[in-house]
Amino acid sequence: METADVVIIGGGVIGTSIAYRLAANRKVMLIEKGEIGAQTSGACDKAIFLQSKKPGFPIKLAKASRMVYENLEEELGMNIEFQKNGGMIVIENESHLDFMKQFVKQQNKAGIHVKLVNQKEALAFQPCLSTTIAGATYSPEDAEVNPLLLTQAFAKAVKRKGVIIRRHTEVTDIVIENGKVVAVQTAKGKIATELVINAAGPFAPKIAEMVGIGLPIMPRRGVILISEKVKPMIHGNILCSQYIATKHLSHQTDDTSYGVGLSLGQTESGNLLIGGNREFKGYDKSVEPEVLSAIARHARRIAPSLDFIRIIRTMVGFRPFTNDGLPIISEAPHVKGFIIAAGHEGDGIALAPITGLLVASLVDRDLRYKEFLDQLKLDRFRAYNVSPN
Amino acid sequence: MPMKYDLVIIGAGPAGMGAAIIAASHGASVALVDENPVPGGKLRGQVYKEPKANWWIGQEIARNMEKEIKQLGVTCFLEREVWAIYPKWKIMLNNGEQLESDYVVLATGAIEKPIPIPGWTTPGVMAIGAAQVMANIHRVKPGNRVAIIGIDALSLTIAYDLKMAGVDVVGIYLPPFNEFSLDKSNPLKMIAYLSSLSHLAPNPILKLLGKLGKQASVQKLGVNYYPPFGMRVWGIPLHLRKAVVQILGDELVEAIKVTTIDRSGELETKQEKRIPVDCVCISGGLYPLVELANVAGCAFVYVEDLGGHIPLYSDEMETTQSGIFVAGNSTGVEGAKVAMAQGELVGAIISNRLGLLKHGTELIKQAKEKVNVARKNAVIKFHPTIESGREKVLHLWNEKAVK
Amino acid sequence: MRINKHPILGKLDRKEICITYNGSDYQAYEGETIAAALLANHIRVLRYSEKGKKPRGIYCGIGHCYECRVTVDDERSVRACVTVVQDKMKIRSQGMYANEI
Ligand SMILES: Cc1cc2nc3c(=O)[nH]c(=O)nc-3n(C[C@H](O)[C@H](O)[C@H](O)COP(=O)(O)OP(=O)(O)OC[C@H]3O[C@@H](n4cnc5c(N)ncnc54)[C@H](O)[C@@H]3O)c2cc1C
Ligand SMILES: Cc1cc2nc3c(=O)[nH]c(=O)nc-3n(C[C@H](O)[C@H](O)[C@H](O)COP(=O)(O)OP(=O)(O)OC[C@H]3O[C@@H](n4cnc5c(N)ncnc54)[C@H](O)[C@@H]3O)c2cc1C
Ligand code: FES
Repeated sequence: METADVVIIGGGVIGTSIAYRLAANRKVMLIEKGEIGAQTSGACDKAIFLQSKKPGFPIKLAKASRMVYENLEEELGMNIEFQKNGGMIVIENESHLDFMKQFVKQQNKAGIHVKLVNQKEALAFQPCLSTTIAGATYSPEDAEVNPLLLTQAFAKAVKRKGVIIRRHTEVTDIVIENGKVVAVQTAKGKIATELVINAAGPFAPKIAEMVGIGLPIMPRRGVILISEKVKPMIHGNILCSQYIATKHLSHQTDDTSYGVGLSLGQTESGNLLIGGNREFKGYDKSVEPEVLSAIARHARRIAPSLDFIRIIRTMVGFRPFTNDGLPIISEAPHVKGFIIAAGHEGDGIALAPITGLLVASLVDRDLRYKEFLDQLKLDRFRAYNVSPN
Repeated sequence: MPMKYDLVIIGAGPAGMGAAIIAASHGASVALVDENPVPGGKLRGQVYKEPKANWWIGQEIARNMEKEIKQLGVTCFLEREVWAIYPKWKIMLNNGEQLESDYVVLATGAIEKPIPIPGWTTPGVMAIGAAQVMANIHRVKPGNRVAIIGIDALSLTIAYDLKMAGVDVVGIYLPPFNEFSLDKSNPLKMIAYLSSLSHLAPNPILKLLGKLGKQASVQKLGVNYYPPFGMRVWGIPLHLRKAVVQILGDELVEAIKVTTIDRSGELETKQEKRIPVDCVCISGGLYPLVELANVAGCAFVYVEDLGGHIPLYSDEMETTQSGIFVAGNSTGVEGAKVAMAQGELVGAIISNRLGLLKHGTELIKQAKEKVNVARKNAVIKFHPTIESGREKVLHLWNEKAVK
Repeated sequence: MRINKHPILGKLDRKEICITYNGSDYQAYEGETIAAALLANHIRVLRYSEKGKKPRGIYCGIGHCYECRVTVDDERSVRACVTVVQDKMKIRSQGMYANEI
């Protein structure tokens, strides 16, 4: 039987970033059911947004992760298209203006550089926007990264550090003896280990079930339309206030159906990423055409110049949703040797760098990140056992 | 709003048109969609002499089928690309139109696998099929001096097409070994493959080659004694021991760099030679075009003999998604006559499901027999083991049905 | 580059029309694709790649690879190998991006 000091389940941005931090002095194995970065981490936008985060702990966590990004490209030795182009939240109509004014005030108080700009200023910065918008908020602190390159860069770096990556290998069970993890069963054999890290993103509950733990993570589906390559027309990332409303105030969304809220960005090679929406549909990836139309209609209302641009494909991902919008980075309460690092919802790209450091700290039992880890424990939810024993 | 039909067919190649003609002649309302401005698919590029018969001129056959389709009142949606199929079943066209039908036939054909070689993106390099389209359909020479890379049924057929069109084909070469060319770069494997193409070859090139390597011992001899300067078939040098390692030229193709392959398959770099050409055609083999079946949620199987991943289908050509049928090269790569017969079979089966046939069982049986005959008499075989591939699929289908 | 006489397909007999490519006039035949018309006029370069700005021409010739994108009249980005020429059609090669003039 193969042995490993740590087995990481899931080769998304989270699993690979954890492997990167753990590899220094351990034998690490990373097990991925399909391809590296082919699930949520390969079907998402590229925003590292700060201005949209909730004040208090969420902002602190986001800032800490953003700090790690400053040197990440150099550290990983690969271009990940990290850019500090700022970000904008478009206020589509007057009715959101008050809410957004309030939002800016609150964010400023929390130490985020974000300001309200009028329609003219917004258009000067993003000429693609419609002259019908009411205004926007802008923050120079928002940044962006290519998520596909990011995950690949982590994966390449961990290979260099000697981590064994098994692709197309599904974890089917976790063997527990006397309340302790002893092995991981995969479709291609068993691996003896005393430490397992569940980084399976939206699929993390299925892994946790294997040790009798119910995780309060749900797949929240999102769709992105991808355009042909066009000349640079978007600076940084654009969200709309509806997005903020959909994200933060699920009770207060207006009737834009299918949970649509604009997210607009452009990759370095010129493709536009036109999103998006938030829906609870289980693990079903078949998206109705009406959803695609709704996203396209909403986007062109805010950026009419999209009218002439062709969509070449669409992608669907499941955000690993938790009730309070924060990930779970925690040891399991009843099982020794089982760590959960999942539930990053729509911020997994932004939070991947810090997540690796947090898990390493948890494994090493140092107190560097105690303050963070205390807030990310599983027992902040009403954890429940799914299996009778 | 969606336009409703008894049957929507995607792809107006020989398979799609065959299905349309049969279904429409039994009274079904049929929509036929193709992204091209003219129906016919790959049939339009085909020109060859049939054994003991006349010339098979694809364009003429396609034109006749098109006439028939129009007479039968089939609605053609040309210059429209189908980008998705939604349950149950909505067919989305790229100009915003929507079609709706209980029955859909995916007759989307096959496409070519590329083999990347240094310089392969330079204008003047094209897939071998593109050369056929240019020469036979549009009557434009793909180049004045053309090199062909990749030795297979298609590249040999098209070398002949080019020759007829008055193009100077300077040689047919092997690709260099890489993860895309694999066996195609191995002289021994190529001779073995060529010998399997022999029996009813459409042109003398294939016949000659067929003789070359019937038995294993001869195959060995072939590599050992096969002259490194190649041999000529119809004046076209065929090089079983030379690989094109680079295509030269910045704005346009100017030349190829050719290296001899030694007996063990290694490149002899000292033997490099520069040959001036203005066009290079790459032949990497064909595979079924099946994205739409994937979008529609059909189950897939991998069958090497049929060209790769194909939607699993029943003996009635229905996929695992009820109402979605397949016909032609999207079920496995074969010649146009087989594709046409498969289309007609599906046309009959769906007419029967629609309740339009009096003697349905009999008609379907005849149509099935027609497919088998077409397969047996095929003048071109892309995969020598196609029959066993077909059997494999039915096996897999039955296995699934038992489960 | 035209194959005016073909041993099996016979003589070419098609109606001539005029197209413009990057500002210059060229002769074309009714019913043929943009790619064929340009190739007949010895034109192979249809666009420049987004990364590296390298020249590109047709590859598959059957509408699958999208290497042959050109800009036509009203700014549409079309595949030269499946789009038929029209009389007086204005065709432009593509720079780095579809919406680039
Ligand atoms: C539409 C959309 C837009 C988004 N935009 C942004 C954005 O702009 N900025 C941002 O920060 N975040 C964004 N996100 C969120 C971000 O994509 C996710 O939070 C992040 O990718 C989650 O990463 P992960 O590694 O946890 O999950 P995943 O990438 O899903 O990785 C989990 C992996 O586990 C594997 N796995 C599952 N089960 C098993 C098993 N049994 N055995 C082995 N392996 C298994 C899966 O195959 C998968 O590869 C967006 C998400 C979506 C859907
Ligand atoms: C490049 C090439 C050259 C070939 N040359 C020969 C030859 O010389 N001799 C020979 O016997 N066989 C040849 N073949 C094999 C050929 O595929 C068959 O002979 C036969 O044409 C297959 O018929 P079909 O109807 O299945 O598909 P096709 O003839 O390929 O027709 C499929 C049609 O569907 C259309 N289509 C596909 N997807 C969509 C979509 N999403 N929306 C709208 N339309 C769509 C295609 O554009 C095409 O017109 C060749 C194949 C290729 C790819
Ligand atoms: S050459 Fe491939 S799409 Fe036109």
